Amino acid sequence: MSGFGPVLKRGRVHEACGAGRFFFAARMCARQEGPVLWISLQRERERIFPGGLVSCCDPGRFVFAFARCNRELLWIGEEGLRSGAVSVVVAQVHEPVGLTAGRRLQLAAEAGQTLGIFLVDRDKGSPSAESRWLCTPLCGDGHEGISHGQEKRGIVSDSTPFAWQCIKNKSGTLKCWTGYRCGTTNHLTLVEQAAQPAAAPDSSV
Amino acid sequence: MVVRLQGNAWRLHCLNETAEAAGLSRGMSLADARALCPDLKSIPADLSRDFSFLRALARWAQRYSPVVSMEKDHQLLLDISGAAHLFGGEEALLSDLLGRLARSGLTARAGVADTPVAARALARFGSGQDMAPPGMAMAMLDPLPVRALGLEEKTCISLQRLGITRIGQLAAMEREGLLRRFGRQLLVQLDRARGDLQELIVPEKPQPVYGASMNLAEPVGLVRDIECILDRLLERVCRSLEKAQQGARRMRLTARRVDRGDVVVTIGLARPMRSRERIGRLFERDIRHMEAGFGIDRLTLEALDVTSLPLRQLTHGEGRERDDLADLISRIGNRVGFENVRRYLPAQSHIPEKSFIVSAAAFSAPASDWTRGHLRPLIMFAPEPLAAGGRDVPRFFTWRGMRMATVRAQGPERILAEWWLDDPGWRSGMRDYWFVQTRQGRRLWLFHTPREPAWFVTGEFA
Repeated sequence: MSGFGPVLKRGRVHEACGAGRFFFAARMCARQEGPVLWISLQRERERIFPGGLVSCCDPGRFVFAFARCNRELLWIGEEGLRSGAVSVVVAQVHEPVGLTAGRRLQLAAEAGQTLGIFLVDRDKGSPSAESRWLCTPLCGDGHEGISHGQEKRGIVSDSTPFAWQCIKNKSGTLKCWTGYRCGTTNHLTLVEQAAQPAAAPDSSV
Repeated sequence: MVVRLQGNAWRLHCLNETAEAAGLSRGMSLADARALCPDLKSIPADLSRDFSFLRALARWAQRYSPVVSMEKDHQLLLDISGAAHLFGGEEALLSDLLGRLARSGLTARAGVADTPVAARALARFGSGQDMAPPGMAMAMLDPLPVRALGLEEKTCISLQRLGITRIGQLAAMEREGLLRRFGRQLLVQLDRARGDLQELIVPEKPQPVYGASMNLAEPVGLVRDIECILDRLLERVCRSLEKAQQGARRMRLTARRVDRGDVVVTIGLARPMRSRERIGRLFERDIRHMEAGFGIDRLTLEALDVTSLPLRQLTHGEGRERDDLADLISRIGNRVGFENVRRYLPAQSHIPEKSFIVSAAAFSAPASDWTRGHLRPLIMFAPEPLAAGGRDVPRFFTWRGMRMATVRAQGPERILAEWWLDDPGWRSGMRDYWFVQTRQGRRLWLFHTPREPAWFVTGEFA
C-alpha cells in the first residue's frame, strides 16, 4: 500500500488520457506548491469548474490561458514550462503533439524545472512524453473506506474509485494504482497493483 | 477639406477659406457639397489625432498663461489676466501668439475679452484678432450674430424667426420675456458674456509624458541594432518613471521608416512596471517581426497608462515569484490577448455557472476565500440533452454515443433560477441536479427541468 501514489518527475512533460485525466492532473497539481498554468483552447468544450476543483486544491493558484489554435497552445505551453514562474503546466490538447514539438516542450520543461502534464485524447499521445497515464473512473458500490458497522447504519462514502495505469514510462516500470477518495474527508487512498501489461482494453473514451 | 462620418452620412468637418468662399459650410453633407463644387477634394477626419494635436497646442500655449483649457470645436481658452504684461500688454501678446502660429503654418482666429463667452464670440465671429478693451465687451459683441453666444441651434433659429439676429438686440430685450420664452440657458450665456455670472475655466492638467526618442543619422534595419537603441530608450524612460515613482501598463514603440511609414509596436504589461530588462524582453518578439523596409531613422518609445508605483523594499522570495508570474502573464497576454489569460474568483450565487467570476489575470489578484459546499463536478460543459423522459433518473441513457447505465444516483439538489436576471440558459425554470454513478465508471452531473421535462448532462465528477 502506498499512500503517496505515483510521483511525476519534475522537469519533464507527462501525458494523461482517459476520462479521469482531469482529476489526475488536479491531484498532481495539489501535490506541488506554487502557481499552476492551465491551458486550453478557446473552443474547448470541457472547462475546469472551480467549485469542484476546490476539493482538490486551491483554485487561486490557477491561471487559465485560452489559446485560439493548437499552435498557440503549444507556444503558451513552451513559454510556461521554460519561464519557471509556475510549478505545473497543464494543457488540454486534442491534436497529437509532433516529435519536434514534443522535444521542444521537454527541453523547455528541463530549463524551467517545471512539471508538464498534457491531457490528451486516447491514442493521440506524443512519442516524446516521459510517461503516459491512463486514468479511468471505476464504478464502486459506494462503500469504499467504510467499515462494516458504518455500512450497516446506512452511511454512504460517496467515494470515487478510479484506476491510474501507467501505460508508458521512459525511466521505470509500468505500474497501476487503484484508489478512491472519501467524499467527506477528501482523503485519497491509493493501492499499488501488480504491474500490468500496457494497452489495457478500455472502451469508455 | 476634411469630412467626418456622422450617422450614415459623410458631413463636412473642417474646410478651408476657398471652400467657404464657394458657399460651403460646416455640417453640410458631402453630397451637397459635391453638387456645389464638383472638384472638391476631401479626406476623412482623424479625431484622435486632432485631439492630440490640440493637446500639444495647449501645452505650447502654456508659455502665455498657466491656465489653458481645451474646449470643443478645436478651441483653446487662455486666462491671460495677470500674465499679459509679461509680453508687453494684451495687444503684444496677441500679435506674438498669432505671429508664431502663422509662422508654423497654422491659421488661427483669436479674440480677447473680459469674459470667456465674449472672447469665444469674438474669435469665431469677429475679424479673427479682435480685442475688446476692458468693459467694452458688450459693445464689441453688439453687431455679432446671436449664434456667437454659443446657444443651442434650436434657440438660435427661433430667435431668428422673431427677427432677433444681433446680440445687441438680444441684450436690449426684457429679461422676463426671454426667460419665459427661451429658458434659463439663454440668460445664463448672456450674463456670462456681460461678466455678471462667473464661468469656470478648467485648466488642462499638465500630464507628464514619459517618453524618449532617438534620431539616427543613418537608417538601421538589423534586429540587433534596433534592440540596442530600444535598450537605450528604455533606460531613459525607465529612469524618468522611477524618479516619478510611476509604472507603465503599456509601452509603445514607434519606428519611423525612411519611406515615411510608421511601424508601431505596442506591448501590454501584466503589472505596472518600470524594469528595463523585463520590458525589453517583451519587445523581443515584435521587433523580430517588424518590417524595416529601407531602414528606420527614428525610434520613439512612450509609456502609456502610467500609474503610481511606489518604491519598494527589495525582499527575497515571494516578491520575485510574483514578478516572474507577472512576466509570464505579460508574455502570454501580448500574444493571445490579456482577456484570454484569466483567473477565477469566487462569487455569491447558487447558480453553478455563476458561482465564480472570470477576470483577466493581469488585472486581478488571486483569491483564496473559496468555500467547499455542495457536491460539485470538476469539469463542466454546456448542457447536453439526453433522450430520456420521466421524473426519475433514467436507468439507461446514451451520452456522447456511449451507453450508460445508472448504478447510483444522489439528489436531487434543487436550484432555482435567479428570476431577477434574465439568463437564456435558465428560461426553462428551476433545475434538479443529480449525481449519477454509471456502471461504466463515469460519474456525471445530470439535471432535470421539471417545468419543461427534459434531462441534461452538464458536468463530470472526478
